[in-house]
Amino acid sequence: MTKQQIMVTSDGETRGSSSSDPALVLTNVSKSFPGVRALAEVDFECQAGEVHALVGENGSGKSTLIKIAAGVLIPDSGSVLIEGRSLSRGGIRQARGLGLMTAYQDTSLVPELTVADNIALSFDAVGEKRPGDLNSLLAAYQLPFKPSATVSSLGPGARQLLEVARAMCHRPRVLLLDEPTAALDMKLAAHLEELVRTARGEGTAIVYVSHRLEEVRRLADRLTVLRDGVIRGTYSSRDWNVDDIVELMVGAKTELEFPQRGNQLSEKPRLEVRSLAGSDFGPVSLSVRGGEIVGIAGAEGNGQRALLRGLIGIGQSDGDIAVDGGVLTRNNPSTALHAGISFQSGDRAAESVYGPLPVMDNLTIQSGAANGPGGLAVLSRLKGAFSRAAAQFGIVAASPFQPISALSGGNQQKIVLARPTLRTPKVLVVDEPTQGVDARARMDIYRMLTDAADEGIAVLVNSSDSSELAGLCDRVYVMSRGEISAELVGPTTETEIVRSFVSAAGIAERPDTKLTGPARFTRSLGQLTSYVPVIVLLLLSALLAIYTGAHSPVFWTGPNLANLMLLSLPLAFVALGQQFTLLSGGFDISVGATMSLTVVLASMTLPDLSAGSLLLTVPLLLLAAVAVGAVNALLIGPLKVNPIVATIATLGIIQGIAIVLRPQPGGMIAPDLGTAFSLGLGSIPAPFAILVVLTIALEIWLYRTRGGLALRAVGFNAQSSDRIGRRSVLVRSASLIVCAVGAVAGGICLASLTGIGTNDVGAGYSLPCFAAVFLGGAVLTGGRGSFVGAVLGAVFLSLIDNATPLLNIPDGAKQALYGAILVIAVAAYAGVERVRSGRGRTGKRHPLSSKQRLKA
Amino acid sequence: MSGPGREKAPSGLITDLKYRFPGRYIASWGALALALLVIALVVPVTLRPDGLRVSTALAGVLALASLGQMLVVMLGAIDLSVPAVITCSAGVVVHYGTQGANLLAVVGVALAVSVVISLLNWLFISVIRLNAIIVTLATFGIVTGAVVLWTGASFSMTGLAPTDMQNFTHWSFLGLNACFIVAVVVGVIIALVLSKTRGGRQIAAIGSNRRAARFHGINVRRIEFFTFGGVGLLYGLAGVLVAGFVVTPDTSVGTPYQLATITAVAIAGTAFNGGPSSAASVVCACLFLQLLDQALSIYGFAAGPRVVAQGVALVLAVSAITLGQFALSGLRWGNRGIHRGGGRNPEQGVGSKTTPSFNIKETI
Repeated sequence: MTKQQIMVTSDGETRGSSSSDPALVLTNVSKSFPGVRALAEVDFECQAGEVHALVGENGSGKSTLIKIAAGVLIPDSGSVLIEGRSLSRGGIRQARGLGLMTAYQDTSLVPELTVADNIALSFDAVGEKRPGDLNSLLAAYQLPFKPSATVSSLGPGARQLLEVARAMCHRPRVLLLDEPTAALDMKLAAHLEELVRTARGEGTAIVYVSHRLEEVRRLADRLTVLRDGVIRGTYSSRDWNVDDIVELMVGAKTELEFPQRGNQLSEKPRLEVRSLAGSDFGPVSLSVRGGEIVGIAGAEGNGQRALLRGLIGIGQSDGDIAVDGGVLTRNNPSTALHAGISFQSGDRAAESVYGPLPVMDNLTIQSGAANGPGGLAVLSRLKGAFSRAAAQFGIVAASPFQPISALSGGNQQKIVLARPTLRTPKVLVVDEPTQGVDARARMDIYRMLTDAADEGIAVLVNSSDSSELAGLCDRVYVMSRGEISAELVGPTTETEIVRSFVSAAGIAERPDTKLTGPARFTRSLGQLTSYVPVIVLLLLSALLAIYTGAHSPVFWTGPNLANLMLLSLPLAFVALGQQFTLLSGGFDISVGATMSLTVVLASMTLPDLSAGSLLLTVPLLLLAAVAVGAVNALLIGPLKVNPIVATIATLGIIQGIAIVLRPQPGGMIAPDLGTAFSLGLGSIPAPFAILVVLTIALEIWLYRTRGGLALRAVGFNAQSSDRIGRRSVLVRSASLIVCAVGAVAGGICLASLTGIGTNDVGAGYSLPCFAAVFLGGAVLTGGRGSFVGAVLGAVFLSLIDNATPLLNIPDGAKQALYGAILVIAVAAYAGVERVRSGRGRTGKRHPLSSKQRLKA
Repeated sequence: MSGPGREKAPSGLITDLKYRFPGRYIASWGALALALLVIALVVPVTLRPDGLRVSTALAGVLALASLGQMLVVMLGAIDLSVPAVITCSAGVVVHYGTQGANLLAVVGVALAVSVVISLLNWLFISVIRLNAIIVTLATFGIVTGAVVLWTGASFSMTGLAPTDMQNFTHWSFLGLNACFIVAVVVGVIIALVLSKTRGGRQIAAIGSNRRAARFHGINVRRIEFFTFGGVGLLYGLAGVLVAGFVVTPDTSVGTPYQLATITAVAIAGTAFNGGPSSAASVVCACLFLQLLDQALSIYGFAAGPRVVAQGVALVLAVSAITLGQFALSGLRWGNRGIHRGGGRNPEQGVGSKTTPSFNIKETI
């Protein structure tokens, strides 16, 4: 309470000038999601030079409102005006163009890029000039890191601060801050408040979403409370107190009635957890007795989810778990299940339900021997289990064979919570039991949980809905920043729970282990990894060249070297194209067929190098490249076909067209072409020199220009790019076209070598093409790799090609060698990468990367 | 396969059937029926016993390979090494199946080698968690190269498959070739394993949601081990039979099976993100593809248009599935594309918004 009084006194300070024209106006906005009305006819406005706080419980519609204002979501009805101009369907880019910037709670930064790159990306995406002096810019915001630091090496607090500062340095008219202090300790939070005040002083309209009311009291000029998608009141800063607001957030006493409980608690705890710790939580000690329902509360993202997963051995690194006194050894989900711990995740899509599978299969997935003897699954037993569960819990499904994805959230969740009843556990751990569930299903779910407790099961429930914890639980642990900050014993109220974490601000930020000794080593290793492939390839090439030279006098002669360079051209060009699309996170297996088609087309239109045939050939080939790329882009983008399947399909079609055009080898390709290709300086053919120049130019483009940065950003994290208004699908489509152009260029080089139209001449290039780019350090998840690496990979493979006959190694060995090199290189690079991100040895995941993995 | 629940009312029975055999599985049956109808009217020669024998033989081989591909795709991966394994298996049969050799032992060796290759894929994909495309592409290269190195292009001096093998693969019953009968029997076994055993049901579960499967205590690696082992067996069987049918196979004997197996699996309605599939639909799709190819060939089309036809069939199949999903899910998804908040966001209706995880690109 003392804190509150201090805040009241600090309330008297002068506010920024509040002019009368609202910078952001939302009128009559509604938005529904399946089963949930997220926003209902909401009117909201924010004046220039004002901090307008938006508060509400988890799930009250705050984030939806923010996303609609930012152009991320399109409202079902209603309008959004930014600076008097309507935000139509232009989305994020238009909103940002109108001067509305957003700082997201989970940030829109690309962790793999540097601070400077991330700031540059944000300015590039809206077509503004990048700020000149980043050091002074960061200094102006007093950010405690260098522009050259990689974002992933920053702590979560620093990342959040950077996200806010990046939005601020655009000098926006409207600034949306979504829980900006969630990951900040008190010192950083105070710093952020200062930044917000400064921005307000400069006339920015700031919408401030937070659940920390003390902070809101210090900062906000106005306060709006949102509950269940409806605005419950707007207050100016002076006329509210914390209790009233909490009351409003929570609502009038809920109409839901919680089931009566028979309170028969066991003597000893059934679940005992001693100093359990993992990468995102701990150390945590807790216990649950049989027949008891214990809740875990806390503001979103304070380690509750990680703790629950730690109980079944996922992400757990330390500590003991005992069930009925027996300590679990080698804890993993399977042993936990057999020891009697049943965990049901609330993240249904990612961790709990099997969308395409029938409801019956979803229900019986953990039933084991109850499904049938000797590993069998007897249909009558499965159906029996389903019809019993359906009757007992009121599950509504058209048929046991209906896919669970077709059911409402409530029915899905009932299936999930019916699983443990088929295999009576000792401990039931439930995460967010009623998320995305309608009111009637809620009652059934509460009954399921209390029934379980009445049977003597120890029940542990994590929920972001404090009212249900208050109604259900005998005790509640409150978590803050990964640790238990309070334990509320005995019947408690929603207000009490909410207050306990609304006021939980006093714990210092968890020590950031990432920047200590070994972490610094892995970081420098990380900076090295991009060069590792290049160095390795140079070394290997040198070794092979020296060895071959020592065994064959022919190798170091000018003609052989010139030949080697000429032979490496097709592969090098196609590898450049493939590298381009891989950087954007794409994939194209049809390049080999495109090369064949190019050779075939050239054999029909390029009998000589006269102007006439060139005028016909060049546009034709360009058209072919664009057509192939566009078809791939169409299939992968709008039609959402898996990239492999899509490009395998186009491969088939292109190959077929090539066969149609040239069923038999035939048609001369201008002999002059081969001659022209071998012209050059001394023994270096001119096309090879062009290749080298092009590669270096592309490399510079990739690391020094806006386009290159955007390409890498999309590859690393498409969502981040979309959030700052750079549409990833367009970048990916463009890169698929570039890939096809590369394949056509490779095809021309190939045509100069073959001299005749053959319909399958390019097929052999698919495998070496991927071998080359992966040797060069590319990854299928995008963002990584270099053009220099890809070309070096191609040259190295061509060197093998050249050396094997000189060393009398048979042809078959060459292909086997390609394959072996590919898999060894990829395994080795992946190993280095895993050590770097710290996942390889400990099995721990980087918190951010695992989050993004979920979203990808 | 088994009868529907006895206690259900007729309407429940129909609903059950509707969900057990949804449109995406029925599509290949429809395509096959349509193809048969058109072929019977336009090029009835295809359906004469001689033509049918050839079609069903090749369809049988394709079906065996495609059933293997189907299992890999159900797990959420993809296998580009099919041609290499088939070639290798055929190579073993021809190389060792000389006069007087014990044919059963030779076939056993061919199958064992195939299983070992497939388990190598498993090691890299499932244990080391490398990307399935890269791994199987590499396996493809290694095995193809090794076979050429070991036997040369024609496998042996004569290049002939064992006589008994030739006889077996050219035997037919009611116009159905032995290869096809083998494929149907194997298909029934696979269908039974996938529906009647817990392990088999877990394959689809892992493919639908690998993370959930792990959370639910399924031993994901072990299931994947047995699946990849079985897949090797299927490819090996396909290789043995195709060697006998072709009589003088060479190292290119497996080449068509990379595109063809993926096409068949797609037409059968399997989602490439992993999940359930229907063995019967895969066998149907294979018969459809082979009949189509045969009919086009007899009608006078050269190899080119036939390859194009197969590619177009694949595009149509995969796009149709996506478009169908759009039509279905467009109603439920409030928003697509960039707005997927994942299950973490309570305000977005957790259940239906997250797109299925793209397992293939998950690693590396």
